Amino acid sequence: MNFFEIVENTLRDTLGPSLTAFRPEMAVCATIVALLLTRMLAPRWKSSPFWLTVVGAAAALWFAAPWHYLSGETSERAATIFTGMLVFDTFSVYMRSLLFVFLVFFAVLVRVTGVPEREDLTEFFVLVLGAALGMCLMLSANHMLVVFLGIEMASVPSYVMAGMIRHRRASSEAALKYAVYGAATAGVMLYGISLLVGVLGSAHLPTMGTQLADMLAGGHFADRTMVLVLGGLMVMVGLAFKLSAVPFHFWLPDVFEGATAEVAAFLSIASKAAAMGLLVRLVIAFGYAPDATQLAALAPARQYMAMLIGTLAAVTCTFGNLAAYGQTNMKRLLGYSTIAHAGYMMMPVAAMAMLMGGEPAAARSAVSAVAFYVAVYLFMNLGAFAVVALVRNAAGSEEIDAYAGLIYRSTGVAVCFSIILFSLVGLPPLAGFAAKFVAFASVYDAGMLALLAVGLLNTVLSLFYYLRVVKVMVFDTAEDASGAMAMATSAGLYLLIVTAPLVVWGIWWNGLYAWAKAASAALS
Amino acid sequence: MNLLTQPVGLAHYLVVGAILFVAGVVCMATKRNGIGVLMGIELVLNGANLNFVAFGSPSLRADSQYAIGLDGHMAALFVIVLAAAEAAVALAIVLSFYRDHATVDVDEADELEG
Amino acid sequence: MFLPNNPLVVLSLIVFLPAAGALAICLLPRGRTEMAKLSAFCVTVAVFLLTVWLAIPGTSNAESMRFAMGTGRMQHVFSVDWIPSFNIYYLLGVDGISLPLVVLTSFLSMLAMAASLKIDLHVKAYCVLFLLLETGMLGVFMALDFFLFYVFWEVMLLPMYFLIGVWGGPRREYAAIKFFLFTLVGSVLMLIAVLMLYFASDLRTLDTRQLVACHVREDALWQGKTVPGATAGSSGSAENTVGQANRGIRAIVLSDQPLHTFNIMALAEMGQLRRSPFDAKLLWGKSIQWWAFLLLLIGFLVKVPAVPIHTWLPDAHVEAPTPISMILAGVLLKMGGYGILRICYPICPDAAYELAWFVCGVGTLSMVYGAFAAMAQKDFKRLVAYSSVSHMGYVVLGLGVWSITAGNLMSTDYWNLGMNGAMFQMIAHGISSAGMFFLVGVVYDRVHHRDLDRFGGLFAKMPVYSGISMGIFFAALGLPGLCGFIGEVLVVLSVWKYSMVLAVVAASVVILTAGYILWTIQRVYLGPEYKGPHGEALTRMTPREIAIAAPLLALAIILGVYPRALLDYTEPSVKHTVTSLATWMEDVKLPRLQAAVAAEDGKQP
Repeated sequence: MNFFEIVENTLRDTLGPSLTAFRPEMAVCATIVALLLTRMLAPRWKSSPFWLTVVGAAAALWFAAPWHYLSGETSERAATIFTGMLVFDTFSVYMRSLLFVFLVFFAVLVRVTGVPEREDLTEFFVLVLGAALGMCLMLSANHMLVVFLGIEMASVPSYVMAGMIRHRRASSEAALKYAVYGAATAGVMLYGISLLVGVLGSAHLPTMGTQLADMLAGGHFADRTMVLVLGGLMVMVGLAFKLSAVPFHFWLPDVFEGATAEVAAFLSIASKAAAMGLLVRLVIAFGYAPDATQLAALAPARQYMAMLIGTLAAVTCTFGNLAAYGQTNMKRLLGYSTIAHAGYMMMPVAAMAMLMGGEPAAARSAVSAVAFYVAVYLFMNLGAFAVVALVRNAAGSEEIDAYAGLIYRSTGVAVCFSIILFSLVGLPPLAGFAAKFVAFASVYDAGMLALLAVGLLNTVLSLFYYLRVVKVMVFDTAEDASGAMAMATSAGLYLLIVTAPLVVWGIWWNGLYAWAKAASAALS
Repeated sequence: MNLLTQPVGLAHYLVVGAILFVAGVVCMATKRNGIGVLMGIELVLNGANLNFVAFGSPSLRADSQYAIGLDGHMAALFVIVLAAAEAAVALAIVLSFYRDHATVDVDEADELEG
Repeated sequence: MFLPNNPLVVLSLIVFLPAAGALAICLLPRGRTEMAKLSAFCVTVAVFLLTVWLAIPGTSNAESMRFAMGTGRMQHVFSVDWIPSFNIYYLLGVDGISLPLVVLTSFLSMLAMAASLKIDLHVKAYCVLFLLLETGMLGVFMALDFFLFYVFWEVMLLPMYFLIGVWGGPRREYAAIKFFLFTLVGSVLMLIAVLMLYFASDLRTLDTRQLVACHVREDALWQGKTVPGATAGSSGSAENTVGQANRGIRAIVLSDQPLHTFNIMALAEMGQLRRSPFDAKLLWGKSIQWWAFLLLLIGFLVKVPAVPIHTWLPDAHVEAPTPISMILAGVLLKMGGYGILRICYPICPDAAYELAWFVCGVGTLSMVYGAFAAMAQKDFKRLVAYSSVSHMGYVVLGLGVWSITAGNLMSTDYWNLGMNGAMFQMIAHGISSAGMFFLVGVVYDRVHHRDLDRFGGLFAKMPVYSGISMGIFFAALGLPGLCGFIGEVLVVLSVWKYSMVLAVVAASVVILTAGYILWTIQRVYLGPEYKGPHGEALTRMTPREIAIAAPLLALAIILGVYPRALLDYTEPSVKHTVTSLATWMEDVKLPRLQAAVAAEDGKQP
């Protein structure tokens, strides 16, 4: 193959299937460019960033076309694009679609609550879209370089977003903590990647998997065990930071408290979803091989990952729930709740690692459980942070005390928030229950009874602090009975739209679950 | 195997990379100055980079079928660029912290109860 | 008839009419409190009429919504896709065990709503929550899909929490969270059992007749599964699968993967198989069904409630507003008993056999402890609450005895007796305890205290009230001729065959009951003039109060004099359940026990 052939092949691949599959990301890129240009060419159009972002995210969603790929009629297998750097399958379609849906809702939220400062709006949305681009890469990564690239692209704009409010001490402190911890864990992760890549002789994820299987089967492995285990652990450090898993969670409550509620929503939803998708991809890469003997040979790797992720999940979940008790600041409380939910979400991933060897159907169910959970979690946390932002605007405080007697001052908000909180606990007939149910079902199916027990125990534990907020809102009365809370109609409507899926999916989650199932169909 | 008596091979590079990594981690963990911590992060990244480059070279490895070739070199280039971007952002954040707190001591960042 | 003869429409209407009413009340304009109360009451009346209409006996005819007497099968069963991707169906039905409880629920809801008409705090919210609660309760008794059952079970939790927490007494927050916590722990345990049974279940173990009898949907047998064709080689491609739709029941035998199900009837059939899929070992040498039984039992016993997990009940009752106490005692407690009867025993007979001593022990303990605790109370409402614990102990005992055979005699008479007694006791207690709570509420509204020591002489001031009260209290006591008597006698008789000691204990609890109830009557209604606070407020019962209390008293008398009115409904279904379990005992368990004995004997010499 001479040079021109290579160029021509690459061109054909790039312009053909690759760019077609990459259209959503292209839409995001185009939006970023449009945002910057509009800022330059039409500086008087103040609301341009909002409209451009909404249109751009909607266009990306249109190109991602989940209704096309997830309807079950198309049975497209996974396809690798850009010469194997990225993978395009139903899982990435599903997760990216969620991301774009979130972007639309997020832009509207920022519009409704009116943060951040007006003149920064363009920069803010550019950062958001840039991070989203990185998350897209994380979700469809098929190569270790893309993994790292995606994580960095998602992280670096997030650091800035955390410190977006200028001249506020808490804000710059949050940004500093986030940046330092984030960069440090990314560095450790990169070192781990370099070890794994070097030992396995490839950075292409499926190839790494087969190489690992060959090594495990061939027995010339003993001297490399240590390096592989160490490399795996280091990669996990980076992921754990993005997932806010214990012991790499400590940045999260601080950052949430220092950043605005809107940014916290972004970090707790988009960032978490992308990290979860990446975790699933990595576990599949190192635990699954299409060939039966290789699949059998990977058993120790699966065992290792299942134990590691399972333990992390259990500890994360328990810690998050316990630490949430003593909080007086709503954003910190939701931060710890985010940590706990990261634990719940990791449980089916551990189950998947366990099941991948023998029961592919059950393993796919576990992946759909993760996908389903992420979708429900998106609306739960979005709603929760929207309430925090609205109450902040109306009452000027983010302390839980500020919510006292909310039901008398703003009935709709209190009812919506109660629904969201009960959904976070996981009570039927709300979507949070369905999500937990499918997740725990997978954990049970994998035979991880201890993990199941931890998960259920945590559900009971979490009741207390969520219920405390409900209690404050409903049973307590405000000391300074400040009368009705001024709340714009748009804000109420927004909250209603975000809360509605929790009730609708709680009662009838077949549609979403069918999509989640379709999302997992292409894996393994 | 005594590394000092061997001709320079993969292992030597890895050792240097590991030293860089450890130095970086120690630097991150002990420095109180924000800039110092960022320097530690750079060291870690460069340690990983050295690994990538070394793993990428077929002539350095005995088991050359495991050499990652261009992938390693590309990774190194990308990491250099990323490190620069990250450093730029991190320095800007340190600067903004300095403006609000009049210090770059990371231990002073304790107003948000941890 | 004005209603269509479609079970889907009628049963769904019964369950979701309250929820729809709640939604409508939500949309009422602000400030229309009287209208909200009135519409809520109308909804409960409509639901009650519907359930009564459902209970009109008739012939067993597929075309008619009449309730067929004399058959123990499920009636009016229908199954609709709900979440087919997880094998979950919207599956409802009634039989002689659930129908009386459904009617009781709608009846008590109506009365409790009538009793709520004088609530004046956040009326709209109260009505909405109350109606949601009713939907949950009715759903639990009609659901035949385990997942659906669980969802309805949990749906009651939130309304109840708020109803106690917002409209309750001084320590309402503590009581509400305690109720919430206990129930949530119970239902979390239940969830584990649900998962265990679901993943262990396999529809392929049932034969065609059983599948049809259990109303398993044909598409459940092949949906989402690869079904190899009858001829070898063809993999389950899409069109092949669709082609199999018509062969449904046949395809099940051929499916290569386990077909899990939440269908309670199918799970029961599986539990009673000779080689039950639930016999697999799970943990520490115990089988899946042993663990599932234990977890389910604890979950249900929390609700019953049985000693020692009853402590939420006195607090919840004391703090809850009167109508909610009525619902709590009258309906919610019955769910525990119903769950044990409908789910625990049929699905896990082997574990039930092994743990029968435990169930009986818990039942007896509750009876004795509840009676003694009631005797020691100073608070009128707390006394009634503990009497509930004691009375529900009879239910647990009656159910527990049911799985025991005396020796090798395969007589099912005593099983029937005990189970019928438990059923009767549930209904009777529903009537008497709701009545007692209402009557306590009546006097509390007037004098604003419930201190037994400061009552006395109410008879002189409120003769009608005292008359009704005595009737209801005597019904709770178990006086012959009133409803409480029948259940207690049936249970005690059946226990006699199992263990004379337990029977003696159970019988002597009747004396304790008589003790605390008579003492209460003496302290409250008899004696010299009332000297407590607010004596001037002791006015006669209002017509509304009489209208609520009188039907309860009337029912207590009717069921006491003519118990067949209820037994005619329950007996066939109870008999059906008992017979199938007796058959299981004879065919499966006894050979197993004999084999074990033989093996033991073989080792000895």
